[in-house]
Amino acid sequence: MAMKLNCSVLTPDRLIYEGQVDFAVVEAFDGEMGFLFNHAPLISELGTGEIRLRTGDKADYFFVDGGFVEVKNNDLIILAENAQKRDELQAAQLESQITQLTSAERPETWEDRIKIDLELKKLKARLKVASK
Amino acid sequence: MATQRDIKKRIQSVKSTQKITRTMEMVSTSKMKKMQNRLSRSMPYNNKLNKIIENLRQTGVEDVFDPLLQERPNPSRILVLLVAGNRGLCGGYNTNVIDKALEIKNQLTIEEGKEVLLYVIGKKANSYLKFVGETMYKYSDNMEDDFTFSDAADLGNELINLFVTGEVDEVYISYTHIISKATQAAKTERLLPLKPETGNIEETAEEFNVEYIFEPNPYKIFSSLLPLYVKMKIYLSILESAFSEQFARRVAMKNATDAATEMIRDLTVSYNRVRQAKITTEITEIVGGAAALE
Repeated sequence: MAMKLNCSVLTPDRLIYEGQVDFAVVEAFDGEMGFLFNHAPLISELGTGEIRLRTGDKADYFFVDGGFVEVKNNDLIILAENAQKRDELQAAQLESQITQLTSAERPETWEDRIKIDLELKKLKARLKVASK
Repeated sequence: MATQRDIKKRIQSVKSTQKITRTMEMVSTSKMKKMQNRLSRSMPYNNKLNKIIENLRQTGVEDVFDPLLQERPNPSRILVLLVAGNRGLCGGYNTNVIDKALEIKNQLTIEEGKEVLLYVIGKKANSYLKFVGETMYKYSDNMEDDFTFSDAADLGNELINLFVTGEVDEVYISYTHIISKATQAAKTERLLPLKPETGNIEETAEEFNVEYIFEPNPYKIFSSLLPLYVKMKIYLSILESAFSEQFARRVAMKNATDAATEMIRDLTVSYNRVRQAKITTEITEIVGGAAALE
């Protein structure tokens, strides 16, 4: 029997990925978390970062921002609030957005500063996935 | 009596109207299919979300103190989110949902003496409420085809904020619910405080025996799942309404096209009758004239 996980990546408006994988890594709320065949049942919150799904020598990359992951009976389900495939991300565009944000003047209030930092963090995470 | 030319003009105008209604019917059909696709694409996510929530409830997190689950004693300010369309020509679609929302509003204000705020989506609802002199808390256009989950998320966050800060004590949503592919009905549901659907426990009892590991812990996960649940509910409600609108428009336009066909038939009959009458009169005149000459 193949030691594979049935994996699906879902967002509210579509199914992004469905297939069997050998090894899956997701960005949980506090760091990366890996799944292999026969993982114990688990539900975890996701953070902002990349998902790597490895099948043989092939790997698929996704960007995920928030959501949940559930694994049970070798079914791995990633419920993302916001997710993109690597092919959908354009590194050049993301880079220009990052430079635009970093070169702009820092806003006055701390709330705005936090918002910008958060945005920057998300863009950088996207860029990381895009340049894989 | 209408002359030949009058009737001919009439037929022409009915024909051109029929062309328009037929086209609108086709447009609605294709939009309806699109909405249905979007709905079915969202269903797996929704089902999974509900399942996780159910699993969590089995671990006893239900007693947790989460602001979104807290029933408030004597709710005094209530927000009703009304989802209607931007356009007419869709039969009773807009009126039904507006009536439903106003019905609950009247029930709450008159019978229970509460303050009800209306959050309105859709141009048609806006103009109707203005016409009857209802005050609106907020109004926005229906985004129709451009509506995405992130719009629903923004709306959800706004409503959750209003609820959590104590601005309003309860939130209702009035939308058009899809009962089956062929039947839709206006419906009002309470959105906040939340009451997640309880599934059939016996049926799924086996699954619940699974001991999950929760990261960070069930309570934290439950609390972050709830806002997502609210957003998903709003998203689906608006999609269902959009589907129902297209469905209603399709039916209305089909009826209009059929009525036009019927009308053209009737008009053609009377056109022929007038034409025949004219010919008969002419012949009688000629025959009469010839007889007079002899």
